[in-house]
Amino acid sequence: MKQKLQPIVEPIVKWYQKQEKTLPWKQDKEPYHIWVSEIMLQQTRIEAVKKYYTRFMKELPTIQDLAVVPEEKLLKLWEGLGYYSRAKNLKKSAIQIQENNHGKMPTSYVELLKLPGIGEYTAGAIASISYNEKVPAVDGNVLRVVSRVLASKEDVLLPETKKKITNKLLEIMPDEAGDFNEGLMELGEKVCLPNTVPLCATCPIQEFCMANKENLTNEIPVRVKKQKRKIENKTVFILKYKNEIAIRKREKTGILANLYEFPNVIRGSNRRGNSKELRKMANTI
Amino acid sequence: MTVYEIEVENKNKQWTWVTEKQMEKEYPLPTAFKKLLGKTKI
Repeated sequence: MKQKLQPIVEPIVKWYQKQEKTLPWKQDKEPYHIWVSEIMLQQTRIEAVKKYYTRFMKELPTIQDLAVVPEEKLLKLWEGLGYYSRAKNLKKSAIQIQENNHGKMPTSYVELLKLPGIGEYTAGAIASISYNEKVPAVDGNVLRVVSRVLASKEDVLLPETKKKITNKLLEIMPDEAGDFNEGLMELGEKVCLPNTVPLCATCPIQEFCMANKENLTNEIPVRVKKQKRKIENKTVFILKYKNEIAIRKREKTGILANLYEFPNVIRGSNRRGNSKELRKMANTI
Repeated sequence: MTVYEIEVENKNKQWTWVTEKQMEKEYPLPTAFKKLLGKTKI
């Protein structure tokens, strides 16, 4: 399989090196910058991340600043980005880096993986972009590009598929590891598009793409649908006293931990249960 | 989601009472809750 992917390396590196780097986190290869941006970009659109990233770096320009920031200020900087455990893990990692590594980011993939909230993808991205370590960084974009190049019909949502693709990329990592990884990701973002017609005519690796040759780009990548998200119906109380509003802090663990919310009760299917909850709430209003 | 906006006569100490400005500056709220402000009917 190596020979099928090997020819894509050079065109991708050259293509990426010619791309304009206008995003704020692409102005240097500082590991702290790469780290924070990669964490923010998980599950979040690039456009949405821009202003958060800029503000975050203005408020917390160094790992030392991140390690000592009060949690409420940190969550405030993250407010609206969602998946708040990402922010909490950033801080935990910063403390760990301060205590165990004299405030300097670890410089290898293996050491980066030991930090809370840093998985294979993020460790690969930081290690390759900042230190040119020859490790892949496989995100959804990379899975799509590689699946299409190989015309692979394996489910990209399965960990086994990700592992196989990671191993294949590991065999072909060039000296310019960072540019190759970023090139693969950017190709997925800008050219090898999902849920629409990919821009194959402008793709630097079109001639090596099996999905393009076999007209399979709309079928690949294969994604077997996940379970539906759990939806909670709530009754929310906005209690006002003069110009003040009542809020409460959420539990220390679980979803949206330690954030604030308006008092509320979950509306279940059991009507008797509902009214009991509502009566309990009414007593506190 | 059903939302009740209620003017109360006393501040129950069970809750944290803040102005909108304080909330905006200091208290992180999930987006779903933030969206509710000013968009509710009694």
